[in-house]
Amino acid sequence: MVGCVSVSLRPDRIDDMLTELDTADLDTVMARTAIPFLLDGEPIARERDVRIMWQNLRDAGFRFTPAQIVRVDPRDEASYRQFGQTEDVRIWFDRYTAEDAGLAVVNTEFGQFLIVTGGRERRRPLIWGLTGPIGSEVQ
Amino acid sequence: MRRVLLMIFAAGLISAGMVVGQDASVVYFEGDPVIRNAAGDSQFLDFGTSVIVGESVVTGSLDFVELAQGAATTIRVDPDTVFTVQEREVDGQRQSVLTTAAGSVAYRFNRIAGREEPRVGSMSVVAGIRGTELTVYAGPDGSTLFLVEEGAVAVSSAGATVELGADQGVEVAAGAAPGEPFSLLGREFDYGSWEAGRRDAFLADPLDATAGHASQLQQFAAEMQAWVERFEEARMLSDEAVQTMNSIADITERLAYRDQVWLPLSEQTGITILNYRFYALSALSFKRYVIGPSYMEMKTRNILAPTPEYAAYLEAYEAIVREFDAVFEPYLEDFDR
Repeated sequence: MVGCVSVSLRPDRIDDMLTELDTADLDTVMARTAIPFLLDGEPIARERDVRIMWQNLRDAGFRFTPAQIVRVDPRDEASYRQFGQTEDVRIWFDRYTAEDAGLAVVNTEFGQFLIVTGGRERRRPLIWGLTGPIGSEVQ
Repeated sequence: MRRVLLMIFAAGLISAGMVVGQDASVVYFEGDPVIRNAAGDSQFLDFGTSVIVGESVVTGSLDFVELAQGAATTIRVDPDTVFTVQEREVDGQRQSVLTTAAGSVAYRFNRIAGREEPRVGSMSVVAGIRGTELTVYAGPDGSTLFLVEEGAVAVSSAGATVELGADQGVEVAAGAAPGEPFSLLGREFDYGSWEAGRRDAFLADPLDATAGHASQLQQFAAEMQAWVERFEEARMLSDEAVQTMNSIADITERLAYRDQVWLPLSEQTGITILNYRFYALSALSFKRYVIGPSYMEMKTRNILAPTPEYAAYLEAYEAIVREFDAVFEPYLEDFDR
């Protein structure tokens, strides 16, 4: 059964992706990142800005791992509301996410985040969007 | 409709140039730049690809594109740049506006016998050019930098104009009047250093920069609303003309009325739509390439320990987003993203 599930919906593959995002060089991280990337309610459309985003997160000491993948759901028509209530966000989910897109709830030492996954690069999904830390943690 | 060579620099986004009855086509490129069409679809560009109204050339960190309009104009799209061709109508002339939404674009407008000299006009930042070679930089904080190598440029923004000659430059902050012109002689500029400086300036006082963003959007909104009002008026007149036309029994008279009355009104309605869309799209571009990246900078730098300054910024940013949704979204389409 596992073989039938897209890597973008598999917690073990998402965990692998998060580990790589934390440890790989920035060029590799960029190769694992879809553009435009959705950060909270803002689609980040320029490659240079996405690179700055990852660099800033590293400089700030942010990391995903050790991560607990609480849940992974397939994207649905209401998924965008978890990132923002704007047309920008709704249209980003409608136009730019992968057909097999997933929405992962991830606990980190810095709080709980929602991550949009989709597609694949080797055996790992790509990261398409990120929001958090969200207010009340989902268990 | 005659097209004239024009350059329009909208505050925060830098706009430049007019297409002279000819689309720009790709004559050289490096890397994997893409072209994004008016429907929002992207594809890799190739030699000979034409860039038409509504389309954008998007370059990554290793990309570079050179466009040409015959012998008249050469356009160099540098790495990490978004270059867009927009269109609007001014004084009865349809203008294709070349816009640097982010990054840097260099232009060379050659003097061509029989061709009308470039003119410029816009509400926030305008640059009229005459036989000019210049580079336009769009900064991450919404600032615009004009560097003129040859010719003359008049840059206008927020009701003020400065004249630039060869080897002069000027910087225009988002929503503000142009700064003091400065000499380029003995100075070297590179986009990376200037962009880093603008980013540092934003981070030094994000609230002030965000106030500039809000001011810029307000200028776009005012221009857009003025055209929306003209659209409503034009549409009403056009609808009335349709009713009158349909009430004319004689077919010859009806056709004459259509050609002499209704068609001009219908065309005027189209012009008003073109123009209010121009400002709505300018606002969207400003949000995408200035406000969004600014938010990203603040969010990622404060993700672990939000400061009071960040909280204040967030409040101002969220107000801008609410205003954007209320004012501009009704005039944008899904395919604009």
